[in-house]
Amino acid sequence: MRKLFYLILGGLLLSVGFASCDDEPDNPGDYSIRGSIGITGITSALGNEYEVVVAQEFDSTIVRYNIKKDTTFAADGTVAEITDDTLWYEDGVCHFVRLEQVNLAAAADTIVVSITSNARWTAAQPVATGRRWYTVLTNTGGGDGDFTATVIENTSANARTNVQVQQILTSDSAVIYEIPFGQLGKSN
Amino acid sequence: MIIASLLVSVSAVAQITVSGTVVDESDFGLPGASVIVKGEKGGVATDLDGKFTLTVPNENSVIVISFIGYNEQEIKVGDQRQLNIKMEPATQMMDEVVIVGFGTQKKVNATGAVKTIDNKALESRPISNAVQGLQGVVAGLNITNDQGGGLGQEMQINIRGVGSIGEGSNSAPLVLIDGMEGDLSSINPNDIENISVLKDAAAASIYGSRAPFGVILVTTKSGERGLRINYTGNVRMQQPISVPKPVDSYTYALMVNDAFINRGGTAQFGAAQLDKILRYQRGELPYGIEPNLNGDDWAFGQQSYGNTDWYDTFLKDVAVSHEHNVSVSGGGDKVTYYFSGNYLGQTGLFNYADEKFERLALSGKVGVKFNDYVSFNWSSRLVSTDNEKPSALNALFFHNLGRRSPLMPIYMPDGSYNKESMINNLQDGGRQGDRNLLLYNQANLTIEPIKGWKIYVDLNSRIENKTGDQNFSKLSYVKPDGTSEYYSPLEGVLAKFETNANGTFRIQPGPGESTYMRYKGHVNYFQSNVYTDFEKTFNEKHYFKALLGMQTEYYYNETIRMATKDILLDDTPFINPTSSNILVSEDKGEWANLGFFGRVNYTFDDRYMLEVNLRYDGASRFPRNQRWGLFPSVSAGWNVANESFFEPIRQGIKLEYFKLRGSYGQLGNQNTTSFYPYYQQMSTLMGTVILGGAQAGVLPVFDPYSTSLTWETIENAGVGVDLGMFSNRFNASFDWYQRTTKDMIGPALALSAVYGGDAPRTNNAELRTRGWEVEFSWRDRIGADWSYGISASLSDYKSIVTKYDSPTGRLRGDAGAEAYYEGKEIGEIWGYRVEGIAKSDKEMQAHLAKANQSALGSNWGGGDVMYKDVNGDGKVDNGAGTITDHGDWEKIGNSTPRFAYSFTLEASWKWIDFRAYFQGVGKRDVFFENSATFFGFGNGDYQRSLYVDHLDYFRYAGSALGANYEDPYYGRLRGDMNNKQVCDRYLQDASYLRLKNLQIGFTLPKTAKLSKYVEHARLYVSAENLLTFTNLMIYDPEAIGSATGEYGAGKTYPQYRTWSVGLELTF
Repeated sequence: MRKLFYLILGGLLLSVGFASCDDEPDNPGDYSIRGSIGITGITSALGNEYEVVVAQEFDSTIVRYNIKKDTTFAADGTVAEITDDTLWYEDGVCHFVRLEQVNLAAAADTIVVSITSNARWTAAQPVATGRRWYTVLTNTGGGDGDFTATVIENTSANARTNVQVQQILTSDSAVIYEIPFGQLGKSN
Repeated sequence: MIIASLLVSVSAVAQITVSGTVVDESDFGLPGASVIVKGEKGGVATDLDGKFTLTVPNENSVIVISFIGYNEQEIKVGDQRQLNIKMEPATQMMDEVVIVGFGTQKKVNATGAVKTIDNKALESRPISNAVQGLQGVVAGLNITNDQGGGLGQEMQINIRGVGSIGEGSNSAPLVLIDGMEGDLSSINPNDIENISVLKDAAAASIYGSRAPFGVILVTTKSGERGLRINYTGNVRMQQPISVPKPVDSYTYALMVNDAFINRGGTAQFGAAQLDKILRYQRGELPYGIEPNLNGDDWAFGQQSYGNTDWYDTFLKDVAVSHEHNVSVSGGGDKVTYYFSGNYLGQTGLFNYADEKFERLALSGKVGVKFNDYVSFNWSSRLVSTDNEKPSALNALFFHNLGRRSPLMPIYMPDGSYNKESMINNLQDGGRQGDRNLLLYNQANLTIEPIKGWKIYVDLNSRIENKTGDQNFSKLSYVKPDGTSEYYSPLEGVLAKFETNANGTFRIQPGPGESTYMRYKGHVNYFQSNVYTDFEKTFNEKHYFKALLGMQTEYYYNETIRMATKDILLDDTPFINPTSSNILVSEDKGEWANLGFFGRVNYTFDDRYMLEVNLRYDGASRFPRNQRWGLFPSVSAGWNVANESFFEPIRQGIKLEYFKLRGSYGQLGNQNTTSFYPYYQQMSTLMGTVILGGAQAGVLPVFDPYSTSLTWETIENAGVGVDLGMFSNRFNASFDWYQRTTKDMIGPALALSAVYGGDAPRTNNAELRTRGWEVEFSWRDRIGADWSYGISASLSDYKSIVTKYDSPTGRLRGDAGAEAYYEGKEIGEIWGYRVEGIAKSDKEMQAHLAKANQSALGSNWGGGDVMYKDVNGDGKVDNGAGTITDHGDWEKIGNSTPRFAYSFTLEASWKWIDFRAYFQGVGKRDVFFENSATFFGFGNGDYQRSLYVDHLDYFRYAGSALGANYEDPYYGRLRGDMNNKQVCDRYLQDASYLRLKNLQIGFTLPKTAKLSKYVEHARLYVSAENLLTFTNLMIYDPEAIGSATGEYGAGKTYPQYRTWSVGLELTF
């Protein structure tokens, strides 16, 4: 019985010792998982289907920059000087995929690009040269989803010359897709 | 040679060997009985047949035989060498007495639900007051605390659950200290002899309408024969527990960015600032703050880039307190006395705050027995408490502490404290002190003209003087250009200087303002009891006792408050009579009671018991024609074990005590919040009318009211079983009860609009509580040196509103307040069911196509919560939020603490004793609604409290904080309510098991040399709140705050663990 008493007492004291050290929660984030994107199909509201063909694919280095502001203080704590400095730095590898040009039909339409992804992705409005005929509707998404854009009617008989290069990239720039969109003319 | 042989002969005579057998009442050998020589070390234990052999010094030695459950025996050896000792079963159970209203009863004959505990539950524990020590000790006595461990923190007490939901009444039990109403938290725990809890109407009805929800009777220590001087003291070290762990500054910025982007916005922290944050963390930048772009002020708030853990900054690792208690008791045949002095000095857990709580208690009790007929007792008790802290250490501080950004550095470049650190707010922002002086005086005269007939006269008074003050001082900081600017010691609230409806002030100084407030309150309470009882036994079988008495009470209180805004000297503030900014208020009230009571007890042959109580009460709080009420109760009991047919069971399974009892009673509740609840009041306020160029005061007409408003009445019914086995080594009891509170004040059904007003509230609501309690204990000895005991209790209750006119049937009131309806179970939580967290936009869009969530928010996407469309109408909402139309809301939980339990393990071996006391709640659901401390973000982008626990939120791959999309706990971080609706996913399990007290003590052996000078000495190590087992995230289960509190749940003073070392000495 005496041994049992010592056992219980020892067990309690040990538990007290362990429990006194509170468990600290961790960040469960997995830094090794990088963003990925896949384009599984390009369709339109009018029922057109467009082929997805990879034209070029390679890995590249991401380079970023920020502007560093430094404040120098005098001995009494007041501000002596504030300076700006631009810093460039490399930030990982990006997988770049360029598709073959997708020639959209001449009619006004809404384009739907089906995306599979495990990341947040963005699709900024391409810089317009000439009259804008292509407008992004969905400029951001998360995970699997659809990117959408609208195109106005090409009333000309010929295909448009100002191709809109749409980039869709993951938030960490791990993958960048480039889809050149052209639009056929009425006679095409 | 002859001398040597003589010496040998002498020593041979001195050592005597004695043998014998110890048997029980049935002549069976009693193994394990302790056999020792009185005053000597060591001893033996009887063997399996009850036999023993012992060597004693000489014939004058006295052998002491003891065994749990049996009366101890002492036998002088004399010329006996063979002893046969028959042990008698202890009559402790039979003789054990419980304290009941206006008297005592043998426990075996008590028919009400009464539990009496001695002071062992409070002994050697580093507690602040007796209430804290009683938590979990008595089944059905529910003592809860959701507000953490602030100095002077009050705990909530109820007996057998919530008693009333009536507007303007309270259901706290009546606390009587030596027969007079008092405050359990103000009494010195070392002065307590025992505590009785009267749980049902039969037990409490003698106290009438002051005690419909039970009574706690506290009996303090009295003097005994022989002089004793006792000292107990301890030093305590307190350390905070369950302190949230905030994220570092860089993680904080990334989480905020996520939240902003998730809501459809842009990141708040750009790359440049993120870089600065990292550089500061690496030590490359000397300060965490710099001037803003204009240079005219500092870049405070989210523009700074420090890295501060605010809980670490403010909370001490250890706070030290100490307590000392000295008592002197003694007396003889005629006079007994007991005097004590107690000092408790506590410091708080916060740095920079200099919190102090001091309690000084002096008490004296003198008993005089003039002769065999007349005795007189006088006691006085003086308790002085002083609670001081910074004026800024309030609920707002805890709210702001939770949402303090780690980016804010502690220090400015010039070495002063950052104004956003709130350190200056505590150190220099003003102090607040609350002082209370209580003086109790009690005189009791007892006359016994003939044997069995006693007359008692009690005169009791309590005088309280409460004083306090609070000042806020001006605070300023230095800007980059060297100029100073003021800021308020209360961050984030508008400046206010006004009087509330209840006479208190709402003082929130603006920048550059200092304020000073003083209050002085006084309470006079006087009570008298004159009663007589007579008891007699006829023909040995008929026991009869009658009690008849009268009680009067008078209570008066007044409080005067003054405050001024124009303070000339912040360091020595005073009320400036010439100030144009002065607030003055006075409130006072009084009530009186007159009660007549009687009780008759009849017991036949210690087998059948009957008790009838009657109380006739008049209370000043009610209108003249409603003032009086008659409250009867009856209880009965049957000592089955005393029946002749029970003898075989008694012998067979050693069930020596088995009693069935039942009770029924009715009581009125006069404990209204207001002393004048049935009188309408008209309060002046500033109107929207301008007269003579100035805003005019107006006197609004009161709302329509009912003249038939009357008392709440409480019906109690219950049954119970008490049993004792194995010679009182095992005791158990079980109770089942039902309590119905009738005629609670509630809203009436709406009247036609032509009436022009709201229908008056009437006595039209009912609440029913059903519950049960079970307790058991086992004590035993093993050999001479070992003894141990195990005890446990478990109780549960449910309260249901059985009648309520709820015109709208709303499930929730405004601002999350409770709303009632017929059939509601108190504590119900209504909310949504959750299907899961969408892994992608596509999954969310597919879900929204079936269950539109637009009523709950917008901009839904991957990482957000998918709520269930329970009623299949294609959308997720709560309908009209009523009992008849609750949309997709379901009952998802209940916040009432259920299955309260405790168990105690005790053991002692020679001079070492050990005690472990566990306490817990078996079931409790809590939802932290709109809580930034639980979700990370509240409702609003700037209501943020980002802890490491919150990092388990949905994040896509490539996130700066790592991917977390497989099985996250939280949805995407957002500053809106999308992912924070009341739902089953985030309903928290607040049940817990806590090692409430652990003690190891070392008692000076009687054989030690020091024992010549000290009758008793014990050194002990004790600890409170050592271990906590709970599934509750982030919070301590006793520091969850209130969902309807001013700033929401989770923002309270931290709970703490206490280690103490103490000493007890008796001379």
